[in-house]
Amino acid sequence: MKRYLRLVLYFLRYGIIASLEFRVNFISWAFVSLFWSFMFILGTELIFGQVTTLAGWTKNEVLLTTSFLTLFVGAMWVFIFPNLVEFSRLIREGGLDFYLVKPVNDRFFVSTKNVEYDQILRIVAVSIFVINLLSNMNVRILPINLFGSVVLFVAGMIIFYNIFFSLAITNFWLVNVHNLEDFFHSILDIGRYPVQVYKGVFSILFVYLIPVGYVATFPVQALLGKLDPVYYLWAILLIFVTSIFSQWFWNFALKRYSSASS
Amino acid sequence: MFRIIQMALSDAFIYRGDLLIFVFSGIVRPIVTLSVWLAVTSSGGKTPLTATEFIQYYILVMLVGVFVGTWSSPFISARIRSGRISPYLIRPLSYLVWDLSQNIGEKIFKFLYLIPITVAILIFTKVYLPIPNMLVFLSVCLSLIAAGLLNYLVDYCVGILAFWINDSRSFGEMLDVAFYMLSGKLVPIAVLPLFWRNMSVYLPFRYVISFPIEIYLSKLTNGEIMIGFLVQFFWLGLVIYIYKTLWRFGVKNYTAVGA
Repeated sequence: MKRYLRLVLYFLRYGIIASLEFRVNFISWAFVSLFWSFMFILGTELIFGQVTTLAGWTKNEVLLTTSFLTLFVGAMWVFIFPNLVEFSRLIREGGLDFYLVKPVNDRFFVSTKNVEYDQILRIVAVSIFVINLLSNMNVRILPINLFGSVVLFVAGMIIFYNIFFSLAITNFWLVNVHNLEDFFHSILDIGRYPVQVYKGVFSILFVYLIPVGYVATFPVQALLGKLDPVYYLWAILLIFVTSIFSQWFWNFALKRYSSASS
Repeated sequence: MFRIIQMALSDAFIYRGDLLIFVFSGIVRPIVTLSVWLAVTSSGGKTPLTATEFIQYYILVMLVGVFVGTWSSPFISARIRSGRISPYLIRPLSYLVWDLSQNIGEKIFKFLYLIPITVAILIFTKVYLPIPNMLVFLSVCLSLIAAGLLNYLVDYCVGILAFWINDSRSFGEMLDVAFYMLSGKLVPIAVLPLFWRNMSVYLPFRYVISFPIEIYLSKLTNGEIMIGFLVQFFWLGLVIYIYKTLWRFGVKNYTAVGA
């Protein structure tokens, strides 16, 4: 256990060193991601125009949701996406063996080794924006709600990590698909606005099947104390289901992989 | 040129999985934004367009967006940095023609995916797209081709910057942010604040997405269309000039550093 913890700390530190080495790159991408975030926030402002509520959400609440999505995607880009992208490439180009023979759990290694801090500026700036927004909204944030919100946020990251990891594994068979990260990004984009905006079959789809509700909608609702506790239970269930499936799928793929190559 | 496109089609066939994902990405954002607009209209908000007009608009944004799409700059930059551009230094047009036909070939595939999706959306939402008369049809085609070339060359120029800048992608991304806001991709230009609405007539961004759509939906008078074409072709000419200049100076710089 201690060995894994040391590894995680090492990866976190190494990510900082790597970012500082390519300083200009880091700074320019930090600003670019900042512009993108505020552009989407601006977009929400424009759409709201004359309306005060939208499917039961006020403008500030919707802005909160858009901001939370930015934070979520930012966090995914720091911890998860760089690993999935490299993982995808390793599978396609056959470099996976290097990691399979290491004395550490292979899935852990492949999933945590890259930490990219490019998005830090965006995360910090949007967090400040969120805090400002919340104070303007005159809403009291109870510590229990804040905790619940963070829990759901992290749950969302785990759930989507599992889902995307499973999708990346399909590269074992779909050798000609290189741009899964675009696909992941698009899926998360669906969660930019409160999922109540989607009507009919789509709202069911996006709450239970492709649970984009967890990237922004539910954490925001939890923060404002408006969330039905059943969603926490559903989040736990989703974590279990996605973890078990992705691990099974990984083992399944590895068995066939080692029997094919060698 | 026809043979090159044939080759490009068979190249694109290999990437048919990727292309499906790119099409998916190309439709998600417009549909998400559209859903929000529809929620706004159905909760009785005042909007510059009706629900049906919004649906029409974003379907067209999807189609035009994929039609004018371009992604060459990182590949050009990589070629320049790795030196693989060398065979083309004296005959730059051959690389441009090859790359452009790859672009067209992949787009043909993307539309093979996109057209059934579009038809499905039209049927599902019970919205129709107007059938244009011949004059409108020709104007739209002309503006689309100019739009595609304009977008392509701007991206190409960003790629050529690799002759001087190590990673021009972030500069390209910043252009992308401005483009997304001012071209009509995020929201119709009619929704933008008055200042930006006026500015968009002079800036190149509108002429990549919104201008063809505006002609098609008969939102412009004949006079406005003429002026629009003038501005669009002005920007196209300017970008062609920039491309030639950048290339000339880039090659000079490049061969001086190399050997």
